[in-house]
Amino acid sequence: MTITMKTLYQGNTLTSKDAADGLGIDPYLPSPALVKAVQLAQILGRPLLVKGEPGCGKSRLAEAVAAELYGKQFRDFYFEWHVRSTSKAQDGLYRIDHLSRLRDANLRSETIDLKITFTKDKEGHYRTQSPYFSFGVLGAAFRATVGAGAQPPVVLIDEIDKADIDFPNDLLLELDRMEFGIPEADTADGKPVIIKADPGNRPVIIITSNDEKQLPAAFLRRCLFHYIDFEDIRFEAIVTARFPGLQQKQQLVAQGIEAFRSWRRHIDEKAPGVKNISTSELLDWFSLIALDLANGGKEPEIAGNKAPPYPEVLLKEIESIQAFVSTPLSS
Amino acid sequence: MEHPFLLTLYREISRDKQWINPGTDAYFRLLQLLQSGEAPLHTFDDMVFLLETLWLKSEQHRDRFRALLEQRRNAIQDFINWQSEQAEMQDQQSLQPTGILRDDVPPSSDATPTRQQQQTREEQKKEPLQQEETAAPAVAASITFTLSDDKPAHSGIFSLQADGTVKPRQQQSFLFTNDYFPVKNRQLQQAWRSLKSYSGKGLQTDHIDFPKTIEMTARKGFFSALSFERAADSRLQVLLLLDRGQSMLAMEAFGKELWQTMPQQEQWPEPLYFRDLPRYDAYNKDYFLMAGDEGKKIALRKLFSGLHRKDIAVLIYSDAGALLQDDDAERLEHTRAFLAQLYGFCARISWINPAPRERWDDTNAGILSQELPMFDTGRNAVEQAIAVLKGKFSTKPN
Repeated sequence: MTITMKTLYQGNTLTSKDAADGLGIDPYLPSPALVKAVQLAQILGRPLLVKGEPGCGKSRLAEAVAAELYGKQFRDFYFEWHVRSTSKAQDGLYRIDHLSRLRDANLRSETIDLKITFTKDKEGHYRTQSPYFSFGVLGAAFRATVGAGAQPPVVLIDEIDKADIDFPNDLLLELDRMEFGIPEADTADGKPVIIKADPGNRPVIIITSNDEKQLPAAFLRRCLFHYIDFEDIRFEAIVTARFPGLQQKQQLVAQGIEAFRSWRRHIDEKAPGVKNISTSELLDWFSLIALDLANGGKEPEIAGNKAPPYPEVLLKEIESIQAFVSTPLSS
Repeated sequence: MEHPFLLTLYREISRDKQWINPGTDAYFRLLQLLQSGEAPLHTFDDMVFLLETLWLKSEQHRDRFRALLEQRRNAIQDFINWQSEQAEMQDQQSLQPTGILRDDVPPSSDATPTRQQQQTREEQKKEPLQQEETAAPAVAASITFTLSDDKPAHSGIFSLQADGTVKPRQQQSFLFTNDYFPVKNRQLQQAWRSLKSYSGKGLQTDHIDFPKTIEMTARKGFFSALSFERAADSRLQVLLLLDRGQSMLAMEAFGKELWQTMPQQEQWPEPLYFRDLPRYDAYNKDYFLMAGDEGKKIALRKLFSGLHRKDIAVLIYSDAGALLQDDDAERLEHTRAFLAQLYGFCARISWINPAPRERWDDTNAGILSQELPMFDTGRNAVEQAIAVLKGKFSTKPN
């Protein structure tokens, strides 16, 4: 599929709760720079590595891209891989249930085919009926690029820095050439099975990292890079979109956001190195306020030079709490 | 459509060791983008955005990267002008602006400025400080790559305060970052990884050891039981001793990096410190080291009580007088006495000296390097120092 004006992510679909609810997700309002970074990744067919503070919306970007590009059916074209500390790169490609194979081998039933056999379909793509074989997230995404009605899927590889230090290096070939082999597979012609993404439908791969570990240079060279700057986040628009009930309370929203910035500065100064309040915590906080107002509650008193109301939602470390208790905020 | 400036800029950026080399394919990717017209350039900010997205690989280098581009602003602007001329000279019916903004995008406060606004911005004098611009609602008709739509052009580096002062965007306590460390964080992690010795005697995990299970099954002729992997067990405990003496003030940060990249040690989760020399208590006939920022004193004997000597290795990080060209004989004897006592508790001692090797001559460091394994802070040297701890490197004096 050729990249055209219409297929590039614009970041203007999930701008209201109604629009987002129709797709079953929350509103997502990216900054213009982030939109352009995604577009570059689409144009060049390269993974986009996204970093930023925790809670700034990195992990939700891929879902938002898929939702905008594919509408209500976006889940058919969206693949998520939440990397763990024990994750292996192989897990993302395919899995073989060795234990079941071993069990079935022990049973020695003649009706069970222990082999993992792949056959080519009419279009020349490999398929298997083996119950022991399943594709991982990347493998499934590559498969989704081929066949009738195929489109470039969107893949999220979340928190890649959580895994072992060599994990990103184990994915270099797959990210570069968008293909991988299955040495355990049998074929009728004896040729190795290679699963390839259709070059015309290269997946849009968005990788997030919390920067807890350094990523290898060889991996970084294959990715585009974007950092979600705190200054670029459109707080007012996001809050108003997420909480329609606060649309009539623009002053309260503006006050809250201004106070949020002030509290962040205060924590930076008084408790440096401690986790600061993030965008997702701000949204949780506004969620409480919106709920309270919807139930007839009063508007809370919010001021940047006072400790925040509902501090349990915003302040997660004892040092950040102490920063407000022990030191008066400057006006 | 290749302009020599682009290659020169790429070479300069790749030669700089402070950040990750973007790689030649990143250079060709940029060319591909520019030649395809998918990412036309109009302003300096457009170019900065493209270069950051394609060539920059880490947020921590962004300010320095932008500063480098800022120094080449004129050359970049010339390149942009040349690029525009090339684009105009091409066919009129060449590709419609394909990429970025749809015609039906409704105007919004975040919409990119019109071409006229961009040209106005380009014509403005290049001041590091600018007034805040309010982006006018615009009909999206052209492709732009401005960094931000309603912020000063240099907001990536500085921000203008209400009182007119300028503040760096990222507040840092110190000018230096760990970019200048001789061994990068990741390389240290890799070096420390080699410390794990898989004795295979660890606890059984719940991961099936398939090769062993299959081997057992093949031997018996039938499947009887699963074999499970054992956790890699590193019995070796490494104690890190950091010198916090006056001469080591500038080198402390690398010592901290050594500790932070080190695998956590069960016995000593934090490093221990001394100032120039561990303090000797003649009454207790023992040396005292300091723990934590409070400097709580811990006796050497107490550190190692209950541990087998063969399972202990000590890594010392100190200049041994090399930085101040110290050849004080008394200090040397004290150090030797401390090392002699330390050897009574541990199997191996390795020493990393932040001073370059050529500075060790005629100092206590030079003499000590003849008596125990001492290494400087090159990447190979650090790996060798760690290998000594494992007992895998020749402990011949240097």
